[in-house]
Amino acid sequence: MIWKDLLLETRRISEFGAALVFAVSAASLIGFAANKFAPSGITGTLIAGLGLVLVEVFLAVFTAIMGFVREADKGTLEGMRSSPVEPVVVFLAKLVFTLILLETLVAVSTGAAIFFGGTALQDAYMLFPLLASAGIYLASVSAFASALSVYIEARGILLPTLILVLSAPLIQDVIILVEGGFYGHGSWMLALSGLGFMIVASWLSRYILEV
Amino acid sequence: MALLEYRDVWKRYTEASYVLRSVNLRVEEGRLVVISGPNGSGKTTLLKIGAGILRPSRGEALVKGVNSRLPSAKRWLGVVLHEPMVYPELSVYENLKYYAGLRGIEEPLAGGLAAEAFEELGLTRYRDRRVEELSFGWRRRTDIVRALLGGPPVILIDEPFTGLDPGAREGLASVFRKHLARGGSILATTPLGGADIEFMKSSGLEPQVYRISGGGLERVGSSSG
Repeated sequence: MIWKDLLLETRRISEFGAALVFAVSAASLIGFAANKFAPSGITGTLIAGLGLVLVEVFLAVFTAIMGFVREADKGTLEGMRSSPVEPVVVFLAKLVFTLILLETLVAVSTGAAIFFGGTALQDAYMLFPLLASAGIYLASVSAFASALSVYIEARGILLPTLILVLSAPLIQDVIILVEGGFYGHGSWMLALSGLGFMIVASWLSRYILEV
Repeated sequence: MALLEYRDVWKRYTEASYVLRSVNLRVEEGRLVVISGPNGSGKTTLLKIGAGILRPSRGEALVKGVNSRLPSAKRWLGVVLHEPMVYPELSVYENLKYYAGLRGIEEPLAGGLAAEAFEELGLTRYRDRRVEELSFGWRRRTDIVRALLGGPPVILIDEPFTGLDPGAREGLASVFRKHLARGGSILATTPLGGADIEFMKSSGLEPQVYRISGGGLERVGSSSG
């Protein structure tokens, strides 16, 4: 299932391309702003960290649309649901696909931020655990929200709202991390909370993917 | 023996009214059962409940005695709905390979009814063409072969002959005959007043026809009783 999704993505360049263009553009501006207003010290890295997590939240909406929502729109979700596969397997496959997509976009956008950030992002290595951990949490949120809104007509409003609400604890955690200058084990805790959410969402998927 | 059975199935989408009311139906081995009714009468809903992709409000659908919502029951089902469930960006073969994988089959066209249907429906020449490049009729044929992967004993098919040209209709009727001769069963739907039932009779498929009306089923006759 993951292979199929990745293959489809390579053949639907426009959607992935749109997400990529947004991610790179936003990250470049974040890097440029950090370089302009905080060219030395750790402040630039902290600002970029916050900005890149927000970009990641927005990308989670993109990946939600590219997940179960698109399968439902194309009518292929019924194909998966009529196959002899446990709903949790279907959900986990989509979650892993979302994680791959999200982390790829984050890696590229972080590269763009570092490139345009110059000396302001010389401590950028500190961003990677934060962004990767946030990616685990957001991939779970994205797949969960996508599955939850598949059969709801008000999906256009519900999907981004769900992602915003479910991302709120993450944003709060990231602010605390940034205020603490990334010291301590905050990123690991973030990754653990992401895994925790992943387990809960996977357990709930058996109910969500039924009508 | 009933391969597929509906036991007191009720379904409603809103509080106001039921689409299905106490539907009881047995689809025996080697039989083709056809549900005929107007648009919106609940034909597809009935099919989806049998396919285990829609939960009934009350009652249950059983495949070989197992609730159709369980993955173990879905292994015995081949489902074709009105809209093809194939990925437009993948080729015909890639689609079959993917769905075969979901059923634990390595090679989709290694043998069995799916391979025979692939030949009968003339898909060989489109094997490596992307589905998005094909007309609805060819997508539909791909979808039918997809549903036959692994040789499921029960086929659920929504308006089987819609979008097919005369050659493909003959090919599908031949596939149906083989399936029924091997002890499989088929539950199909047709629109009210369509020519499909007459075609099935003339093709030697001996359908048992039910009319769906007011959410209930009413037997209207069969060619062999």
